[in-house]
Amino acid sequence: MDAARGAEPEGDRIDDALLDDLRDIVAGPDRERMRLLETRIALVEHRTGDHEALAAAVSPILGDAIRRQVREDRDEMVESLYPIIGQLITRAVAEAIRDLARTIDQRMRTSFSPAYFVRRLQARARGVSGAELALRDALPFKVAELFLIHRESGLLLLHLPQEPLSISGAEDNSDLVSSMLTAIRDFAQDAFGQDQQGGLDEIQYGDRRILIEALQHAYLAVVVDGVEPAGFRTKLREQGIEIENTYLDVLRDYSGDASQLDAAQTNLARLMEEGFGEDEPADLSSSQKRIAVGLVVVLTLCLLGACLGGAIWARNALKRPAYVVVVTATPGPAEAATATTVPTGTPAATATPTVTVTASPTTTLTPTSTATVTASPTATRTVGPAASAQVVVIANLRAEPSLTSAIIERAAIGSTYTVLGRDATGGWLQVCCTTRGDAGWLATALATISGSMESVPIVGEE
Amino acid sequence: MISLGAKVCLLGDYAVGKTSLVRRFVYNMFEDKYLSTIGVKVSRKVVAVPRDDDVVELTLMLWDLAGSEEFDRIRASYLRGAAGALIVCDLTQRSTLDSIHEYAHQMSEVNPRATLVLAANKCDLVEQRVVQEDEISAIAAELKAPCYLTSAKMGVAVEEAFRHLGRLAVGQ
Repeated sequence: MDAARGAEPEGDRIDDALLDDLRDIVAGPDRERMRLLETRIALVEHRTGDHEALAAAVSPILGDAIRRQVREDRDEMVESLYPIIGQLITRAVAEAIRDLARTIDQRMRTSFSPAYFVRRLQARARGVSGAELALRDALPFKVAELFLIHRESGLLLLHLPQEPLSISGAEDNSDLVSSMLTAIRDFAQDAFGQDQQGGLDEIQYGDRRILIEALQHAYLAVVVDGVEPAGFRTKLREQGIEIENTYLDVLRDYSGDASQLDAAQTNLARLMEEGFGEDEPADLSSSQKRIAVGLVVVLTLCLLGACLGGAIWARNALKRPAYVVVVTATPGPAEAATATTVPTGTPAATATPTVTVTASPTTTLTPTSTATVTASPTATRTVGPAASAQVVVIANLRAEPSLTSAIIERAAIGSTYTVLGRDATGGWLQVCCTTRGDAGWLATALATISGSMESVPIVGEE
Repeated sequence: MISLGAKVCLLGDYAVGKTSLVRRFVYNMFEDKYLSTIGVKVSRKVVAVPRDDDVVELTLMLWDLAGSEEFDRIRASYLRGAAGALIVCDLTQRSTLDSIHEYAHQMSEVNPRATLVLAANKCDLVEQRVVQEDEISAIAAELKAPCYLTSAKMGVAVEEAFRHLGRLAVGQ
């Protein structure tokens, strides 16, 4: 062959070369296209073989297609998906209701304590049926974490996780969380609060919420799951105020030593207790409180009246002479009648022709009433915790107890202050503290006072 | 060993390297995106500092404040309760020196007892340096604050600056 090819004439070789060139010209683009197609087919084969790559390639298109279909023909999509999604939802709801029923059954079996009975009565008095109460109790509530945070610096003072970190193995980032939470509070206050007092009360994230209770120098942040029972906020505030009052000096000039507040863990641990609030009576509304106070006053007055009446009756009974008049009737013709009463009775006997009345001087006085009054001077004067004033309308804090005095700060509704003193008229309260940490004067009528005012001194009186 | 906590702020103009100082030398939990959203990001740095013949384990809560102007109004509230501040400037940008006094003033307005440390950053960029050491020293002397030439990139004097701030914060 080689010999034969080698023997090819020169003209034939040129023709072959020309033919190749011609083939390139005519079929070249097709050959190029073929190569590209082969490459693409290889790529497609690779993608279809590799499931992850296929999913990555298809998912954006699929997502867009579904979105477009939902936008353009929602009903059709609902109909298409209902057989799948509807069943899933039905199953999930049924499971949730079964859980709820089981919880209610469990509670009904174990809730025959006197406290629960009283609570049921209270609920009934407020128009809540036993079933509703059981349903409410069955709703889950859990305190997941609790932070006590220094208000200005955001430094963590105390942290109570539900599960100790040594057990959960999680890294303790509570100090970072407390600082960032403070930053978020500051941001919300600056961005939306303008010049108003108050602040962020709650942050919700899915089913989890962070309840925030601001105090004077610190604030409590409680991470909860579920719906908190009635009275939880009040309890939170009370515990906070107690801590604030106990550690006022530490908190006012906080040195960064959180160990000084270790003992306050006891207060906060109460809030962490499981099932907290179950036996806590719900807060009464203001009208209910008025009615309750009215009833107590009426009952007290009735009791006092009864005591007073009893005492008067006993006194009169003691003074009243008891005497016995012995009347002897002696039938006979003589009409002689003498009547003597001792010591004060002077009965006028009227003789009739048929009756002879002889009053014998045997009247006997027998004082038998005995009044025994025992005074028990055991009343003890109790000075309660420091009084606090909660502002009920937007109010001004003034430099002096006068309406003409300079306004130093505006207090938002719900702001709570510690009462330091009062003026002689009782119309003004000296409260602490403004955002700058100063004391100011608040009109008494603009606030609700909690705690004992007995120990509150009159400021400015010598 | 006594454990204490203190809040300190990082102040300085945009792009002087505050976040780089933080990113490299302290424990981070949060992403930097908070800086552009709420204007602050908090990190933690634990340093051991001497005090009264003892050693204090001081946890510095570092509030890295955004340097952009849009957060100026909010910055004052972020400064509240701070025991000190690290004021950062850039040795390659003269304009970043101008704001140092402003930051120091803001800090002392909100926290009169707060202590300051000055960090002149990017000292590794020798060829691009436009601010001389004596200029920084003069500003630091005016502020009565210690001064460090730092480089977040190379890790120069950052630890020392934080440690000094810690010592000042616990009153040494």
